[in-house]
Amino acid sequence: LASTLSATRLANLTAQLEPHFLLNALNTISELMYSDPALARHLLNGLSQLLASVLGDQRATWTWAEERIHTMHYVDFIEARFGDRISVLLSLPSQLEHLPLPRFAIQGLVENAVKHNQDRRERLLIEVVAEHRGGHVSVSVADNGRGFSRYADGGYTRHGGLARLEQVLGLLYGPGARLERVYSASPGARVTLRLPNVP
Amino acid sequence: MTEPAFIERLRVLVVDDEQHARAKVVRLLRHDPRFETVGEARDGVEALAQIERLRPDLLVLDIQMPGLNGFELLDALEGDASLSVVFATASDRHALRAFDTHAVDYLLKPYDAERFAHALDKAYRQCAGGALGPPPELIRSALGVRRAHIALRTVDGAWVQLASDDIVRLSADNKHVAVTTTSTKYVVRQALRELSARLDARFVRVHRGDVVNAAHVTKLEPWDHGDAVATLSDGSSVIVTRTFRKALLAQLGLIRP
Repeated sequence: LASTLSATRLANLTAQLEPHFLLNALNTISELMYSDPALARHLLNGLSQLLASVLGDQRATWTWAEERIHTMHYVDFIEARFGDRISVLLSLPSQLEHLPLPRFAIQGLVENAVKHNQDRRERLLIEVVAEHRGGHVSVSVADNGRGFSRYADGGYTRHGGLARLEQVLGLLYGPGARLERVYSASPGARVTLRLPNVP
Repeated sequence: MTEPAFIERLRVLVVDDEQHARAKVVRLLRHDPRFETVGEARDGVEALAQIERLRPDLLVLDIQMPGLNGFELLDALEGDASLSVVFATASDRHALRAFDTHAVDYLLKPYDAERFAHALDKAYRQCAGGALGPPPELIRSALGVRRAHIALRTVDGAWVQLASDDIVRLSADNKHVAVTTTSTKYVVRQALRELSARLDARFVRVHRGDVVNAAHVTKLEPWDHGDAVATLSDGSSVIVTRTFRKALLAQLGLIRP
């Protein structure tokens, strides 16, 4: 029973995609159909895969390779919508490809960085770097935005994404995993996930 | 598509932080000869400067934007009454606040061409009538700008300009409207409601499908059940139903409006 409960909680915690993301994505495609049909086709295909992952898949974890593809589909939309105002750099070493990690962990952190800095006029750079070191895998998502302390007050939404991810890590790995927020990074915010090296 | 220069177009500024969202609005506006896009702004700060410089009649305005958001922009303009606003956003949670700002319409992304055209019709009526919100049709026509001329597009695709003094009646027939002048008759594509909104208070609706120029009414006779029959200067006659009789009598100066 305990494991069913955990599974349900995990499913609820991971099955997230902002509804406004979907609506804005469709609005973008509805214009690209006229101005850039090739890009419209590419994004529509990406959107189908994003939705298939969010709606169809019930697993709590998947591989780094799957997470990378999922994140890239998401980033395609961010870049189509915001042009060079938001740039995302992904650097995930290929030896991690087959290892498991919580679904949407990286894409969710990128989404968080976008969400909390979207109202700023400055160019936003988001950098995702993963490392395989000792008994751990770590991945950092860093941005040059406003940083944690000055995130707009929003009650639940304030650190909602991170709190959810922490619960997922707890349910999956117990104390073997950590989520670290770097408050002092100047400028910007940095979140680092440390996951135990489970094959 | 080039249009004759005599069309009075409303000036539109498109404000959205996403380039394709702006491009969509600009593309859809290109199909409507009543409007012209005079500029685009990527956020509220740019919009403020452009409004100062370009003096638009209408904003198509996103809400979530960097710098100043849509509401902050309107606050900064301090309720400039000469500016109409159509909001376009993916979120419905701002709708109530948007209506507090007397916005003409609230478009939810993704919207289609038909929904957008509906918003433009409302915006056109508000801009042309100078009224806040959609007033009842009779009041709207009383408030209507008195235009000496009106441009119409005929079913053949040609634009014709008519002196409103010369228009005798407008009669709806299916999807078309027949516009009768003192010398000829045109069949146009626009809806009767939309056409009458562009005409001044002399043009009174007398029947579901008929608008007449009160100045061309030569005789008014009682008919059945409170209805009446009006004879017009071109010799034609039209039924004036009970519901609309008062408005016509008021326009003829026979009763107080």
